[in-house]
Amino acid sequence: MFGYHGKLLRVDLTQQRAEVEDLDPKLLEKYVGGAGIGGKILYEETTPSTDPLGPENLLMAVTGPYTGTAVPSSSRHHMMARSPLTGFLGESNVGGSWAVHFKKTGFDGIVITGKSDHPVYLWIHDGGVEFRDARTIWGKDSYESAAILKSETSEKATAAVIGPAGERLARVASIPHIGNIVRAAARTGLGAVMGSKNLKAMVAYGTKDLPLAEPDALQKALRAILPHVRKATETFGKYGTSGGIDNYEKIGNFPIKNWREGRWAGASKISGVAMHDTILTGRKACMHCPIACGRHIKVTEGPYAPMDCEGPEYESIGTLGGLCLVDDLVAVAKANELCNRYGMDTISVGGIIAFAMEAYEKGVLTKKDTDGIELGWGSGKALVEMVHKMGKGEGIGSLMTEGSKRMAECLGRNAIEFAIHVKGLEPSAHDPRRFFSQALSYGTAARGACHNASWSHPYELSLYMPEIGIPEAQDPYRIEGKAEFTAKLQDLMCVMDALIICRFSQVGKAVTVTNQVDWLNMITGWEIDIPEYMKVGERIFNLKRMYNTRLGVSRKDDFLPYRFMTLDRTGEDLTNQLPPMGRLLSDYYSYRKWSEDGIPTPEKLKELGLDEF
Amino acid sequence: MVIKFFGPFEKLAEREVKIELKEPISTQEMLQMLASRYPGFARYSVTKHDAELSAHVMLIRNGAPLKLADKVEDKDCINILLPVVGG
Repeated sequence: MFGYHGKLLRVDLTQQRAEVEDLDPKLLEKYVGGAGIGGKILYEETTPSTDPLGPENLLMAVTGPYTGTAVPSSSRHHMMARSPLTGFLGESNVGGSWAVHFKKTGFDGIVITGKSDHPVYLWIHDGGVEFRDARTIWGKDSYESAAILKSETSEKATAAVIGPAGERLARVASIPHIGNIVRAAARTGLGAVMGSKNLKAMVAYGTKDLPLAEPDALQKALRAILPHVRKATETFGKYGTSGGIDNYEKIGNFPIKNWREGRWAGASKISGVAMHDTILTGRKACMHCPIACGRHIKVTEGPYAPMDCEGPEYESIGTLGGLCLVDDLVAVAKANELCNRYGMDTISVGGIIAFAMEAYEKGVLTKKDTDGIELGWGSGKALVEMVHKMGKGEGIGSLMTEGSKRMAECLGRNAIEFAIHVKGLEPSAHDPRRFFSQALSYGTAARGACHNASWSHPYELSLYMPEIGIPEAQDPYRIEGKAEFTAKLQDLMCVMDALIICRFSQVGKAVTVTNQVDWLNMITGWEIDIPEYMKVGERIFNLKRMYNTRLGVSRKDDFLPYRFMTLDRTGEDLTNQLPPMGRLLSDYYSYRKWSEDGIPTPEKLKELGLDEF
Repeated sequence: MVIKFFGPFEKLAEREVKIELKEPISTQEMLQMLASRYPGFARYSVTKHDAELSAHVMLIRNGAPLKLADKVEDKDCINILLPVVGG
């Protein structure tokens, strides 16, 4: 077996017992890894009655055949569980260094069940896994905890470690991964699943080699392409993911004032260019990544000093900044740092605070509810104070970390009308009124309002991929063919989440699908072609849909919030159209060969080899 | 035609420039014109593919991005900004 160790680590926290399971090579060919293998296990080993915060829920981290190789931007793993935030499939794909360290311990993935009777952490190394007492670090923030964990294990290790938010089962809790760079499995509340198991951290460091089918050919291919990747992503790396916020604000993609406004002069003050010119001290890269889009910032004076930490990326700036109208870059950076320390998803936190600001404006929340905090639009001070309250679960902060859907239901009145989410997940920082593929993907993504499920908006600006039937960038407002366009990109993202390779490898067409398939064959010794490769992605997408179908998801859950479908934003030069979701969904289901209610048909499942589901 | 430069492009050129166009030209020709005026734009003027160009620079007219083959004319206002692809 090449590209894999062929071993799955199974951990039962109730019994504090670990077992090693051999992975079936046929299963690997069918599902590849990451989201594919994880999705299959999640479907088979949870049921509709599984409590997301109960010991019966699974928590998984699965790598892919690229992980641990020199393929650019491939130091990633996929985390899955039933989501405590949405109640549906929960998943988050994360970079950094944990995936490589973990895979070098000799395992391809880890599946955790049960619940420890006291806080523990797992120390995973070449010799196996150790259950270690975590009582002394329980309650500490993720940065502080990681420093202690590394001192107790190896300074070379990376810690996937929850903060106080995960410990108290906040439904927006993330799992920060702290090594030389900080990255988080942030979406869908997986940190709360970890906390529910009394699992503080998974610390990994290994040194085992990975067998490759054609190592010389792979090395030659990668050497040939690396200069092109570096050149294509040079600007992106220099200014980071938020470099072009001005651009997104001008074309109407940037999220503003809880998705109410179309234009905002404050955007340029919190862009990657502003960061570059003020508080940026260096760039950071995930292992084996030539792009280095990560930011390091330093703030030595002012109300939020000192800060010497990771800087915010685009989605965090869009939600903590744009949605809340906060144009103070340092306040946004502080809110971002606090989210990492408490272990919370910056996207959901920003969306929820924006929702709370609108509730405050409309009188649904009062100063009494906020414990005296003046929760006005644009207040950096209020933003930071609310992040503290959410992280600690203090006062209204506890309700806020239940997510905007639950919070709106609790507040009552008309709050549900301006709680912006799909399937309970707050959207990332891309407006679906600017890109119809984004609207369709927010609606149909398994985890809710997720831009990464299709990563299609760049393909509605300039990107193209002829080998998968996208010969040129598509008009963002074109309805004809939008279903096929979006579905193909969703399938591509699913197989990329199985390999695993970062979305950003596509920037400037640095890495093509042809490259991806060639490298996969060199690593594994397989001989698959592009249609088979895309079929793997389609299989994974449908499998994830079936998981949600079993939980009752159908057409009714695929619509966007009222605001996205009815509020026509205005502003100078703003192109803006309301997505016709009914038509888009009907076209989409038809292309996918799903029923009119959005359920994969038996014929489609059979075609994909998913008959068993 | 008015061209406005944002972020690092302001350093390569200036804040704003007015260019008189007697007839419409392609976006690529406009980039070549800019390169002859501002050498920092030379690298963009030789780009042949939209995907390649959009990795480094985005040209926006009336809230919509321009492609290399698109025509620009004298009445246009073009914004030149950094691209972004999100997080």
